[in-house]
Parts: sequence; C-alpha cells; structure tokens
Amino acid sequence: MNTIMNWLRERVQIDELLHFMQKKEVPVHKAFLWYYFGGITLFLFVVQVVTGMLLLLYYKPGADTAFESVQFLITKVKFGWLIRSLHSWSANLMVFSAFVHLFSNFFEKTYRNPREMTWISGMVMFLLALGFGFSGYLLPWNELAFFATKVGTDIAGVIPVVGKPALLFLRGGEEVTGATLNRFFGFHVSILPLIFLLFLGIHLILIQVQGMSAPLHLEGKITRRMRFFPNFALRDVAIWLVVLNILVLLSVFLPWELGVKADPYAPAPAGIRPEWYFVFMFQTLKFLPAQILFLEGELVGIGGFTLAGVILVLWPFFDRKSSKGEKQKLVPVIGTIAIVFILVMTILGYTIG
Amino acid sequence: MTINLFYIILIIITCIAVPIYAQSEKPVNSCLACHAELDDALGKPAKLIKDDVHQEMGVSCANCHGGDPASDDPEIAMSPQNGFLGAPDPLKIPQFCGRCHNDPSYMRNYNPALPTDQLDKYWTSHHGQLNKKGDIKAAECVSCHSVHDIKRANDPRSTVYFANVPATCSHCHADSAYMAGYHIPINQHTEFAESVHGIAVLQKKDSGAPACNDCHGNHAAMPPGVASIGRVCFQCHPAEAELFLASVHKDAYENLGVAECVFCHNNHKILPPQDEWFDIKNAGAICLKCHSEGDGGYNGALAMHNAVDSLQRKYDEAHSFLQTAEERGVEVSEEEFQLIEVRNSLVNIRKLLHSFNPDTVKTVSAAAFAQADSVHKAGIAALDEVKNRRTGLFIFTIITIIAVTALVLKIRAKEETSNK
Amino acid sequence: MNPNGSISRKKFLDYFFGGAILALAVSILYPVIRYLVPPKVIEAAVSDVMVGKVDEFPPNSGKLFRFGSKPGLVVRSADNQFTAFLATCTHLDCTVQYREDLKLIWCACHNGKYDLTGKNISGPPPRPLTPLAVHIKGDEIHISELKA
Repeated sequence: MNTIMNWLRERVQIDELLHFMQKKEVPVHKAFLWYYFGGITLFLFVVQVVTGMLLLLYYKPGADTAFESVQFLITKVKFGWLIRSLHSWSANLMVFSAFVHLFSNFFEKTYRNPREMTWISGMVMFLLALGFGFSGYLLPWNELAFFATKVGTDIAGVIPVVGKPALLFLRGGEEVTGATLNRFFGFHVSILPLIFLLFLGIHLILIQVQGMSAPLHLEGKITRRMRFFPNFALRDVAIWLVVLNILVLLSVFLPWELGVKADPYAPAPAGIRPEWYFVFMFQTLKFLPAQILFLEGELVGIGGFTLAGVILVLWPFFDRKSSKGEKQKLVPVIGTIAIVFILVMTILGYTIG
Repeated sequence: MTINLFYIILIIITCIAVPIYAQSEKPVNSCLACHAELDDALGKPAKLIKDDVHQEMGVSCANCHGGDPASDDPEIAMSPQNGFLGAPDPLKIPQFCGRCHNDPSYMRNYNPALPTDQLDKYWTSHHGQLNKKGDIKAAECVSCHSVHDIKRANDPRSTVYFANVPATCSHCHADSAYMAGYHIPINQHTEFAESVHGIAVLQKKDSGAPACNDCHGNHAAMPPGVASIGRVCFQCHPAEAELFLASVHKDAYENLGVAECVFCHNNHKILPPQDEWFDIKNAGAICLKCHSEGDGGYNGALAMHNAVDSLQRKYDEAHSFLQTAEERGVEVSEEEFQLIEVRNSLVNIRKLLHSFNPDTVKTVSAAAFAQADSVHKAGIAALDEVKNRRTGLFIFTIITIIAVTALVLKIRAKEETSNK
Repeated sequence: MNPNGSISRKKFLDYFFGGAILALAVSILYPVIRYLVPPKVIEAAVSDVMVGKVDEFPPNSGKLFRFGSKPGLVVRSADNQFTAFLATCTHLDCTVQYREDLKLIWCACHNGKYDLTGKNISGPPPRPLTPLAVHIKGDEIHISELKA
C-alpha cells in the first residue's frame, strides 16, 4: 500500500486530495438515519449501471427481437433471471429511495443557502430517474409496457403547442412502434446516463466541498461530527450490503415477470396503468372532470403537475425564509400534504383501477 | 370556276364513300343495334349482353333466337322464314339451351373441357321431373344461370360461382310464397349460413367447403337418400365416414331409417361438434335419443366420453402449467414440443369416436394421457430449478450477514482507537 | 502474536474482515462470470437448426425435426429438391408427415394433402403450410425462418 502511495505522490498531489476528502464531516443528531438515503440511491444507481451493462450483452433492441432476447436471457443464460430481476427491482427501489431522499431534504430544508445548486442538481437527477424508469419499462416489449407507454405518451401529446412535437419526438412517429423502442433504448442506455452522470458529478462535488448540512432547527446545536471517510463511508457500505441482500431476496421470491409479447393490433387489456411511481399522477388525471372552466380537464392536471415540478426544482428561490435561517412553517405543511396526496392517489390507483 | 367544281366533286365523293366505309367496319348485328335503343323489357337483353360469355365467344342473339342479324328491317330480321324463334316457351327452356349444350361435337368448337351432360342429368333431377309434368315454377337453366348476362362458373360475378350458389338456390327455396304447396322446408339457407360449411363458403370464400350443389348435385339435384348420406359426406370426410361405415351404427341406422351423419351433425346447420353431444351423463346428449342407462351403447358412450374428457383435462392442465412456467422464466420449449403429440391425439381421438368402439378410443387416450402426464412432471422438475435459487439466496444471505458483522466490528474497532 | 501465542484481537478482526470481503466478492463475481459465459444455444429464438447431412436424406424422403418448440418437416423430392415447412397442419394443428407412396405431404388426422410446395391440394386444410428456408452449407442442411 505504501509503495503505491509513494509512487502516486511523486506524480499527483495525492496527499492534498486525501486531506481534502478527510475534511468532510457528517453532523450527528436525531435525524441521522435520513443521511443514508442519498448513499442508498447512489448505490442502487450503481447496481443499475452494472446490471444494465450485463443486460446489454444479451438484449437485442427491435420489435422483432427484444421480447425474444429477454426471454432467452432469463431462460437460457446462467443467472440471467437474476441480473434481470435485480435490474427491475433496483430500478423501483431506487425511485423509492430517491423519493425518500427528496422529502427528507425538503423537510430538513437542506436546500437553503449555500446548497441551492445541490438541490437543483438533485431535482434534475430525480426527473432523469423517472425518465430512466419510463424508457426502461418499454424495453422488454411486452404487452403491459407497450400500452403503458402508449397511454403515457398520449398524455404528453395533450399539452398545447409543444404536445404534438413532444409526442412525435418521444414516439419516433405517430404511434408506438419499433421506432419508439429504438429511441427509448437510446435514451435509456446512453443519453440519459451521460446527462445523469454530469449532474451526479456536480451533486457529489458540491457535497464534498460544502459538507453535509444539518437540519435548520438544529443549526448551532450540533455537538458531534463524524468523519465521512472512513467512518460514515463504512456504515454506508454496511447498509448497502443489506440493500443488496434485499434486492437478491426480492429477485428470488418475486422474480420480475415477462408477460406476453406486445401486439400493436390487439386491443388494450383491462387495467392498464403506468409504473407505480406515476400512478398518483395517472389517477389524479382520471379523477379530473372532462372540462374545467374553459380548459380540458386533463390539461389542467398536466399543467398543475408541471407547475408543481417547476416550483419544486426552483424551491430554494421560493423559500427565502429558510435561507435567512428563519422558521418556515409552510414546508412541513406542503410536504405532508404532498406525501399524503401521493399515497392516497397511488392506493386509489391500484384499488379502483 | 374549276376550283369550285373540284370542291363539289370532293364533297360528293366523301358523302358516298364515308358511309360505305363506316358500314364495312361495323359488325353486322341489327338485333343489338335496334334493341339497345329500347327502354322496356325488350331493351334489357341488349344492355346485359356485353357481360355475357356467349357474346364473348361470338355466339350472339341469332345463334339462340334465330333470325337474320344482317338486316336492318325488323320484318326481315325477325321473320320466321329466316328462322326467327322469338322468346322460347318457359317450359321448353332446357331443350332450347340443350340444342347446343347437349351436342358434344358442337361444344367442342368452343370449350372442349365443358361437360355436355347437363340436359340428361336435368331430367333425373326433381326440378326436371316437375318440369316434365308442366310445373312452370320448377327451376330450369335460366333460373340459376340467368339469361343474357351468363358468366362462367368460376367468375365471382356469376350466379353459379360457388360462393353465390346458396343465394341463387335460396332465391326460390327460401321464398315462402313461392314454395307454398311443395311441402318442403324453406329454412335451408338460414341454417346453412350458421353452419361451418356456410361460414367457410359465404364468409371465408373457401372453395374447399360445400355449397348446395356439392351435396345435392346441381343439374341432377336431388337430396341424397338416407342410406347414401354417409357416402356423400365421405367425399370430403373420408376418415370419419370410413370409421362410421365399418361401425355398428351403419346397419343399425339403416334398419331404423335414421339419416346417418345427419342424425348427430344435422344436414344444413352443421355446427362445430361438441364433447357434450356424447356426454351421456348429461341430459342433452344425442346418444340418449336411442340409448338408455345400462345398455351396451350407453356404457360405450360413457367409456369414450370419460377417455376424451380426462385426456382433455390433463392436456389443459399440462399446457397451462407450462405457460406459467414460461412466464416465470423457466425454459420449457422441449416439453411444449412433446405436448404437441398429445394435442394431435386429441384431434385423432375425436375422429376415432366415429368407430363407436370404446376400446380403440381408450387405447389411444391412455397412451396420450401417459405422455401428457410425463410432460407435466417434466415441467414440475423444470420449475424445481427455481428451488436452487432459494438455496443460493440462503448462502448469499449468510455471507452478507458475516460481511456486515465484520464491517460493524471494523467500524467499532476504528472508533475505539480514534477515541482513545 | 501475543506472548501467550494466540493471535491478537486486531489481527483476528483483520483476517475475519478480509475473509468476509473475499467471500462476498466471490458470491458476487461467481454469478456474473457464469452469466458472461455464452450459453450453448448462442442466439435467442431458434433461427438455425441443423437437421442432418445431405447423404442422410435419400431422394423421395422426408423427416420431422424440432424447430424451437414447433415441429418441422424437411423433404427431399424424387428430383433432389430440398424443401422445409412447419409441420403443423393448417386445419386443426396435427403434425403432418411425408408420404413416399403418395409423393406428397399428408395429415393423418383428416386426410389433408399438401404438394411439395406446401400448397393445400385436398381435404380440409384451408391454407398452405408455413415454409421455412433451407440452406445447404457444405454437406449440412440448415433450416431457418423464412425472411419475407
């Protein structure tokens, strides 16, 4: 180990880098556990990348070959079923973990000065993660995914002015076809990953440079701080191993089903819905009346969610009070309402639909 | 002055020459030329004839009706001295058409492959016999083939194109007012349209399926006699018919005067056969019309139905099991291939039923059942592969627990030393 | 080593930790490496089946073979033409066979007959047989799906 370090020392400023890394500290307090969720999300993303790369070795994009290649993968390739199920489960757990990470940071108001950019880069990654989920879901080219994609892109098409071009851009044509699959594959394995990595880099560097934040109400009251490297990092790794075990457990007992191949000419089966993390939006749109004042109901829904998304991304600039260190009662209220709304709508989406 | 004379002579020559020239180019058929101008029933044939196969072959009005088509003068063109016959007596139409169509050496000049026995056959048919008795309502050539716009039988527009035959026959046979007094049913077309044959002919345009003439004959049309039904169906269904004709039911039906295949399958309304027909425990079973509990036939039907039913269930069970396994990600293409044999057997058994021999049926069924069973078992074994996954998970969990424990101890150790 | 000869606690912990990490690494790498090794059937969806050598098929003979999960039939006619079809009868899905005496393809279930181009010529079958592509590589006969 020492020889390697000496070799490096002669060439790059390795000591300065190590010293810099050792500066990062984690404040210790009651809400300490929430700190793990950023790392869990990161770990799950790494699992996605690794399993994704492995899947790429056997997956064949294209309406004639995609389904069959996944079928081949899970039946004939050794541990193919495992890699595929890991990928599907990890995707879902990652989105869930991202939700938790998002809300915990929201409630703790960590987005306040000087961490606005961290929040924004994180929000961008969240939206990209949803894009990963939406594009990846179609890739096995099975019946459920085909119709879920059709419904999802139909909704995009409702937006005025940009809706139709957006629909054509997403679908690669008027309808969901092999061209759509082609595009989604490109988004999923190259375009989104590269953009995501950019924002991930920004996010991680900012945290490294600025250190982990403490909840607003505890600022100034932090008595103990833990070194990130190696103390917190080792704890992170332990948690990650448990998460990995959970993933394998899920893959063995609840393997991801393949279903039947997509048939564009068949009628849609009953109960089509998107992935669970979109269900709350889907159900909300279903509840809205066809017409609200002079606008189409669906449009109001989409507009509402878009507005909410934009406000959420730019939230640091809306909540000036927190940046000044003042109490902001609006945050827990909005946060709680949002969580309850999402939960209720998701449950309704599964029970009514 | 000379120039004016020149022009006058030119005009005169033109006025004489052009009509003569035009006249020599036109084919001489005054019948069409005059009758095409008429608007009533007399004009209709001239308008229809352009689609007629006879006209196409150069056999025009005068070839059938006589007269002189070269003359413009109706007195000459339609004079009996010139052979004009006019419209034939409706009862004598078969003979009218037969002048050519019953003459092989004449027909050889036009279509050597066309049969020339229609007239002889017609006299043996029910329509022909009624016609001889003077019944003007009985069908003759024109009733089915139309007149003046007759097309070849393989022309989809023809009234006797196979897919159009049911409609052509129904023109009379489904008309209750027309058929009053003949005391035969008028629901044949309705029933036929619902049958497998009807759907094949009328909807799928499958020329392999029978229309009215394939079972009844066309020119010699007569419903087959009770004892010959089996042999008529035999033409397309040789396997089942052969089994039936060798079975105990052949003589039994003949003695009872029961119409062979029709007894179970109906004549016009032939629907896809159902296993319920010979499910003798079921009150709706056809066998119960003659058999009752305890007799040989009853027991035979019971044995056959049990054999088929148990095999079908076994097949369904194995098939759905394999489908579930495949959706779970287990490789079962070899097992699915073997199940094809069982499916073949099911089709075969339902054909073998026509032997009315329970032993034959039971032998085939038992062999297929054994195969379906082995496929099912092989599928279960394949699914057991999934059990290996649980073992793997167990091992991995143990290793993870050890690793996490080691990590926790390491953290503790580090923090102890850093605290000291 | 401690004076009384036992391994020190720290060293034990180190070995324990190292061993655990090693076991973990193996339990992750083993499936990944098995996964990376290509399976015997290299491509997804049966695209190529070798049914035998040319000499194994005398003229006027036919042989049934497995094509994925479906039955296939390869025929060498009396004038040495090779043709192949999915052997599923288009009537009620029975498996057809080649009849040397009739010199055509026959279905035992209801006496359906097909000529050597797969066309349905007699009996109940409503459609021709699905053709497959035949490629002769050297002396091997390869059957694959027919690309339109």
